Amino acid sequence: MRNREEKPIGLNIGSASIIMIFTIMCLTVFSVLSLVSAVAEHRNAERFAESTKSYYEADSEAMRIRNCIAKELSDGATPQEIAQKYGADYKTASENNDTFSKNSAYYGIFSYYVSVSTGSAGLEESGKGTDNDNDVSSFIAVELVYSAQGLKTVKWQKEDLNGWEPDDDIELIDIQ
Amino acid sequence: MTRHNSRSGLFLMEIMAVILFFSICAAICVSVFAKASSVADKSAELNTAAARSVNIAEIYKSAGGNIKETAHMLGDASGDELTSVKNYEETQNAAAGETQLEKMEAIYKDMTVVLEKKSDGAALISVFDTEYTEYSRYDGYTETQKDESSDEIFTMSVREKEGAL
Repeated sequence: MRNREEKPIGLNIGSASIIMIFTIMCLTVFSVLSLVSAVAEHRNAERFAESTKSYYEADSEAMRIRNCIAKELSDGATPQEIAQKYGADYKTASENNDTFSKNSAYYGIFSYYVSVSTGSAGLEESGKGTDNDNDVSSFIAVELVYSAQGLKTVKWQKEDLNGWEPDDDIELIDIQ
Repeated sequence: MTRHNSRSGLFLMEIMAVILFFSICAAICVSVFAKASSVADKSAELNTAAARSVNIAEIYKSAGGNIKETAHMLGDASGDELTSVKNYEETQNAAAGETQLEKMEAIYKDMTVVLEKKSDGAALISVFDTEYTEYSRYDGYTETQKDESSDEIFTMSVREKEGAL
């Protein structure tokens, strides 16, 4: 009878502390995890916003150069002068020996590049990016065909500085 | 009996310490959760703002830099999330004899996208966080009013296809 009275009723001493430690641990782990994932997501969103902004700035600059070339041509400037002024390459039809030149009559092709900077804004009017600028990872390559009908855009493409590398890790099934 | 009382007292002391410590830790953790939620909301807002800006930029380019046409196309293309499209600051083009729009506002439920032509021929797209304040009218109805002091979320420039210099 005495033994029954001495038994503690309900929770023992220390059990509350153990439950609390477990609860606090859960709360801390989950809150830190949620904060870390939210911050990573925010960094991703900022990167997306920055790349979108940079792309449209480069696109806008490429369009400005295209419009300037068109205006200068209509004003009577020579293609070589214009190409030099805007840092573009100009190849006459005789210099080009591709499929396009064989199938169509034109005077020449203007080509230029505008860097898409991923960091702070800064555009290069010519040259495939810059070696000293680490922020530049891609560029917009433009080709304009100059013919009797005026300027025609034949290439307006975003290209990566490192080029395209195919992923050969996965073995594909050869279906024939 | 004395031993039982001392155990109860000890347990009470422990419970009090646990509650105190737990409330401090819970307050810190809840604030971390709140911060995470706020950061997640901001990133979702930024993503949406960038996506909507791209949408309007592409419509603007395909409309040849015509803001009136952009507003029409945007109104047709957008779903329920777009509340209204406002065009204003019209300028009269004397040579062509037509009215040209210089600015438009696309008002979404959670943000406002402003498309504005600049002097250099490019257009600036700015996205603002739209906040509405509810107020009660004299007849008992509640109305919402757009808060003018909205924060800018995102901004970018775009140039129309083959047109202005």
